[in-house]
Amino acid sequence: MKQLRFCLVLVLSLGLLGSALAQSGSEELAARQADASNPFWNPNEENLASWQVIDGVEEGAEITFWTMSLSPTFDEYIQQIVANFEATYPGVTVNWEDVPFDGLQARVRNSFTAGNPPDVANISPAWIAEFAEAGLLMDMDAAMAEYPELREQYVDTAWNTGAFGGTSYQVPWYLALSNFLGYNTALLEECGLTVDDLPTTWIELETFASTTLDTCGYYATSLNFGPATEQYLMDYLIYNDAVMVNDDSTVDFIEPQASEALQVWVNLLENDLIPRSSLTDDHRNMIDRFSEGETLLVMIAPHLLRLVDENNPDVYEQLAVASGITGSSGASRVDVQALVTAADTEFPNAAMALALFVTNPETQAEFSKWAGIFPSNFGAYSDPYFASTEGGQLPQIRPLAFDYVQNADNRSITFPNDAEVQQAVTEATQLALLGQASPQEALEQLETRINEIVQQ
Amino acid sequence: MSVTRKVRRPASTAKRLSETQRRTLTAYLFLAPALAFLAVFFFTPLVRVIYYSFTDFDLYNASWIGTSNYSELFRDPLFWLSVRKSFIYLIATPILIVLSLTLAIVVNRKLPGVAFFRAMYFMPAVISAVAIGMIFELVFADQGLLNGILRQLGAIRRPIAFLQDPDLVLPTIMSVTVWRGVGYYMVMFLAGLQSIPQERYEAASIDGANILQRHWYITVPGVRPIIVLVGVLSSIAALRAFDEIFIMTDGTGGILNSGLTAMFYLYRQAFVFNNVGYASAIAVVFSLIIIVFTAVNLKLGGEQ
Repeated sequence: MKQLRFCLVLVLSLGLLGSALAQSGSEELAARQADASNPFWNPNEENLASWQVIDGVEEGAEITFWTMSLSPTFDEYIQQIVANFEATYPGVTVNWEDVPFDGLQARVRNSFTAGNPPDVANISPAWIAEFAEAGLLMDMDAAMAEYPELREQYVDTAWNTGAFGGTSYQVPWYLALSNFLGYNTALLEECGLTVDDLPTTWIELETFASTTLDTCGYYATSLNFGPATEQYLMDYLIYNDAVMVNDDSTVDFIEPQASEALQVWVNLLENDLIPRSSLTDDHRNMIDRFSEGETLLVMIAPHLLRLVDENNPDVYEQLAVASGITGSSGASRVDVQALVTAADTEFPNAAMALALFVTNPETQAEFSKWAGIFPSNFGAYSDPYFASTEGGQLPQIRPLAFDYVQNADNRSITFPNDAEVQQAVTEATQLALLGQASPQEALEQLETRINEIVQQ
Repeated sequence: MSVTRKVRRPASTAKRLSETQRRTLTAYLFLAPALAFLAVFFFTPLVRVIYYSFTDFDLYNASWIGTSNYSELFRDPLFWLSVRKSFIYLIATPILIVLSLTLAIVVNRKLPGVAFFRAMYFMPAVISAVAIGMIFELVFADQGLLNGILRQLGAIRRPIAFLQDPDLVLPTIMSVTVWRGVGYYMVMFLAGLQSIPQERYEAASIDGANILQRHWYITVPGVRPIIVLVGVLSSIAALRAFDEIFIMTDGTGGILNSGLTAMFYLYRQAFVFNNVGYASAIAVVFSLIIIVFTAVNLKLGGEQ
């Protein structure tokens, strides 16, 4: 399911944040903390004044802030955010609580049901539709209408991720660059192939998979059609320019592009060009298979490459990274962590101020130095860290990040009754992949079903 | 010297309450904590579920919609599919009875180390369903233990897609349920077996009964109440099976809804789709089905 896909990526990345931090070592951190010119750790009056961007923050406000699985690894970082925020807006108190990912969605639901939600919470954008549909979240587009210069600092596609009914209900926090292709250089050589032979489109992947299996007996890749799937059919069709979304959220699949695109997946499975367990695999399985040397390629966000290292350092030694596989649109997306604010918070200005503070350039740039994630705020990229290829996190990818983020295009649609739509999409995918319906039949059924669900 | 202590009671209370009334009051006071617990955690949720089944409750808002959920439910093919899958899951029950009774007979002997085997057989009952589900996910994986053994034995050339083939998903998960339950029910049968006098077996042996006859004519009638009990308990457990399905299908209900039992459908409607009102209607109808099924089960067990 799409929800789980985002969450899985998140869990993996958060797990890695810890290891990343451990690897970066406390010396680097100590150096930054001791650096008097570091505005995050040692803010001066000028910094505090520049961070005070929201008017009318309620005097004496006490707001609750929930983060997702950041404690204990990032306790110092979050505590410093809270200290900086309270110094920026004197009189405002922040009660920070970290909630493990596993229970977060249920806990947010329960808090809304009980009428006691956090003022600011970090959630997956995929959960936004549910809360927005029930009118529980602050309309960020409306809230930011007074602050167009602040709004412009954010990566547009990140801001609109998870938008419901054309409205954004979140402030984007940190980003993961989703679309890269890891490949095993030793296996590639063994197959008599070069980096120029790597596929860049799904059509090319089908040919490439056939070549690798015939010439050297390796699977080119596995896919993950199971839960937390990267291979979510609706996104796949959208990025292949095969879906038209109408104003009332009904969809029309564009034929023959849609059927042809789905046929590629069917071919990969039917012709045994990918392992059959791809039907139920998740993204972690794809990484594991690559780590075991079973496959040549892994579709991966760079910050997850460390998983390969943890699984099998030998394969990691042979690992190189290329541009990701795209649909016919050529577009790539970024994964987003969202900060939402309760619609009926007692302190709307303080809550919004905190969401913007957590995502301001200095605060986000510091977070990127701790972990292989990237800021949603363009201002953060002016930090020299992002131009350097020495030390820190993902040094080879870092200089590419700004362009990637700037050109990213998050096209995923959030439907009314989104979970039911996702279930219908999953079932249609399985019908086609198992050969119980032709791609065209599966898509016709899906189109009818989606349009029924969104019009309920 | 004996000391007689008089218990003083307030004269007014003694006048108001008779001995019987006092005893009744005392009994209710002892029952009160348990009743309060049941009221909060059982009766109130029960009443609320029935109420919600007549609403469109989505965790945040609820409006009264009469019997719409029920009329939709009776027209919902996926609900009836899930009920059918739940009843298919009942196949686990006779398998469980036979296996656990057989195991109980085997370990009901005075052999060296038998206590160890009893403990081993019972162990799955105390392991969490989540751990069991995860372990068996690995056992049934395409590169997993079972496929590996079958390949080593030359029984298969390609791995069996236990969890990717819609026809195999439910039987695969049921086998885990059986594995998990067999030790638990074995202990029940063991208790029943130990209440059968040994003299009966000795008399039957003298009469020339072989081992199968001895168990068929002595053991089975002797543990009949346990068979009925295990039958009822394991049937209810099978109809309510959820944990193994959730873990082994990664929360999806299996490919093409192949593991979609009524309990899983209820979960999906309530906690994935947030259709709590509709899920409540499923809960009410399915509870009634279980009650009727159990009553029939008990009736048949009693008549035999």
